[in-house]
Amino acid sequence: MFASGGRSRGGAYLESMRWEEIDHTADVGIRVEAASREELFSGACRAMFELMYGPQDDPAPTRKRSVEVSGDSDTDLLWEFLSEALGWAEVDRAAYYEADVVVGDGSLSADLSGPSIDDLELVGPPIKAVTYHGLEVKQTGSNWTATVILDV
Amino acid sequence: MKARQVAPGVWEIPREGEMRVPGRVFATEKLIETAARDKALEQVVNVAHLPGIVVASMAMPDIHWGYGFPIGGVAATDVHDGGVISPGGVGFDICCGVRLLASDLTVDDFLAGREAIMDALSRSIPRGTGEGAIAHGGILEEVLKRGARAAVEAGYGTEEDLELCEENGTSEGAEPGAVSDLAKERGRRQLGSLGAGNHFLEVQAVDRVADPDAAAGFGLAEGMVTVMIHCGSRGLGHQVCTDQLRVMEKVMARYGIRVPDRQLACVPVESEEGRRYLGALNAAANFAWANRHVLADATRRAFAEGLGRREVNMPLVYDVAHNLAKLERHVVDGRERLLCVHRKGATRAFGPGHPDLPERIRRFGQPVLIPGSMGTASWVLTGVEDNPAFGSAAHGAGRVMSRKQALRTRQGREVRAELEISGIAVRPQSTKLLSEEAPYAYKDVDEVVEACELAGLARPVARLRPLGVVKG
Repeated sequence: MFASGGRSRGGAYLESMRWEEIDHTADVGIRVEAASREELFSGACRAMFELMYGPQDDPAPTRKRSVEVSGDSDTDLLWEFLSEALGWAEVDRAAYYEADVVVGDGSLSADLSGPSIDDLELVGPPIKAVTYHGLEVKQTGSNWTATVILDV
Repeated sequence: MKARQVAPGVWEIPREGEMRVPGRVFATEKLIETAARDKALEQVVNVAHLPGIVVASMAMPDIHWGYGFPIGGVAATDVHDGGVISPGGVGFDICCGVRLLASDLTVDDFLAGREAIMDALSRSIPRGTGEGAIAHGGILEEVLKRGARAAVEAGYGTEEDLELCEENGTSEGAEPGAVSDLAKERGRRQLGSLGAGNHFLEVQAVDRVADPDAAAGFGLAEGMVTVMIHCGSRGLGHQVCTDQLRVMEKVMARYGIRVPDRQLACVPVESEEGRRYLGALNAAANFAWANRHVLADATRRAFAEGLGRREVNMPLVYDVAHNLAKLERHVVDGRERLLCVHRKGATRAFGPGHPDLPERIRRFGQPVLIPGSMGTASWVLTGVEDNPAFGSAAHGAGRVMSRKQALRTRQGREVRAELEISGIAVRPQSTKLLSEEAPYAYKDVDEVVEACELAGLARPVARLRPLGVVKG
C-alpha cells in the first residue's frame, strides 16, 4: 500500500511520485514510483525526510543547498545523490523535502530546500546512511521505480 | 536456506558454488529457526565469498538480516594472503558499542532520588538527530587521533577509565587526514551525544550473579546500581563508511574482486585503499570511544546533581565495540596469522590471560556486555578459552520484528505506560518511537546468552535489570 507522495509546494512537480515503506528486520526499506527519472530521485529524497519527520503539506524552504554528484548508472547516481542529501542535511540541520533534480550524462545536480529540523518533530527512526544492499532503479515504459534500504 | 547442526549450539551451511568457506552460526534451535525466516542466512553465505576469508563465515546467536553482512556477522581474512577489508563488515555506525559503569549506590539509593536523577540525565544527555554536543568540537582533531585519551585531557573522565576500555580507548593507526571534510562537519557538533534509534542510556540493578568470582573482579555485586550506555560514532562514522564504500565500489574490479552484494564492496587490506580505510576507520573509532567517554562523564555529573552530592563513585566496568574491523593475531590450521577480524554486531570476547586485557581483570577474561531490549534484562558475560569465533560473542538481543511491524503492534504511549507499570522510569526524546524499540520487537536476551554459553563463546557473569531508560 503506497502511503504518501505528491505533496509538492510547486503543485505539479512530484505529482506522479508515490512511495511506500517495505519491511526489513533491522533497517528501513522504501519503494518509490514516479513518471520520470528526475521525479523518482526527488521522490526518494522526499521519502527519506518524510520517514523521519512525517509528510509536510507546505514545507518552508528556509534551508537550501546545491549538490552535484557523478555515477556510471542510475543506481549509482541515486545512491550518490541520497547519500549527499542526507549528509548535508545533518550539517545544515535541514529536512530537504524538495529537490529540483537535473540528470545529465553520468552526473546529477540538485537544488535542495526544506525547513530546519528544529521546527519539526522526529516521528520515525533517524536515517544513518543509504546502503547498496538491494538498491535498484527500474524503468518500465513511462514508469520508474526505485528500491532503497536505509540504515537506521 | 538451511543450516544443519554439527555440535551443540553450532550450525553449518555447507560450502557450495563460489563460497570460499562454509557458513557457521552459533545458536540454539529456536534462534536458528528465527534466523532462517528472513535473509540473514543468505547474508552468511554471501560473506563466505570474500577473498582471503578463513575458517568460516560466522554469525553470533543474535544474528538477523542486515545489509551486506548479517548483523551478528564475524569474518576474518588473512592479511598476508590477499585478505580483504570491507566497510560492509563494520557498518555505518563505526565502533558502535557499549559502556558499563558500576557504582556505590544501592537500588534504594536510586529509588530515593529517582525522579531527580532521571531528570538530570534527561537534561544532560543530548540525543535525537544531530543534537548539540556536550564537548566542544574544538577538540575534534585530537579526538580523531587519540580517542578517549583526548577526552580525558580535555577534562572528561579519568585516566583510570582508559585502562578499562577495549584498546584503552585509543585505536592505533588513526589517520584524521583520511576523514573527509563532510564527515568532520557532521561530527563537529555531535561529540558527547547519544543519537537515536536503538541507542540508549539505561540505569540498571545487578539482580543475579552467575559467577561471583568474575563479578567481584569486574567490580559488580548483587543489588548494585549500574549504568549502561549504547552509542557509536554518530554522523562522522556514518560519513566515513559512506565515503570509503564509494571508493571500494569503484576500485574493487581492479583487484579482480567480485561480490554477491554491492554492500560487501572490499579491497585487499594491504592495498592503498585498504590502508586508507583502516586509517579513517580507526579515526572514526576514536570518535566513538571518546563519545562514550564524554557521556559517561555527563552521567556521573547528572547522578551527583540528582542525589545532591558533590560527586559519586561510578567506576568503569568496561567499554566494548561491536561494529569494528581490527588486525589481530589468531592461530589458524596450527599457524599464527595476522587476520583482519570484522565484527558487525558482534563483541570481542577474549579469554582469560589474553595479553590485550587490563592486568587487573586479565585472569577473569574480557567483560562482554550484552544489552537486552528496552525494558528487559541485560547481561555481563566473560570471555572463555578456546572461543571458536576468533574471540567473539553476541552483541545484543537481536531484532525479530521490523520497525514497521513494531509500530503497528502497539503505540509508543502504551509501551511507555507498560514500562512505567513495571517500575522503569522513561525519558524518551520521542514517545512515538518507543514502540519501535519495544521488547516484543527483539529476541529473548536470556536465550541469546544461553546460546553463547552452549557454543563456548562466553560465560555469564551477572544479569542486570532496568530501573530507568533515557532514549534517543
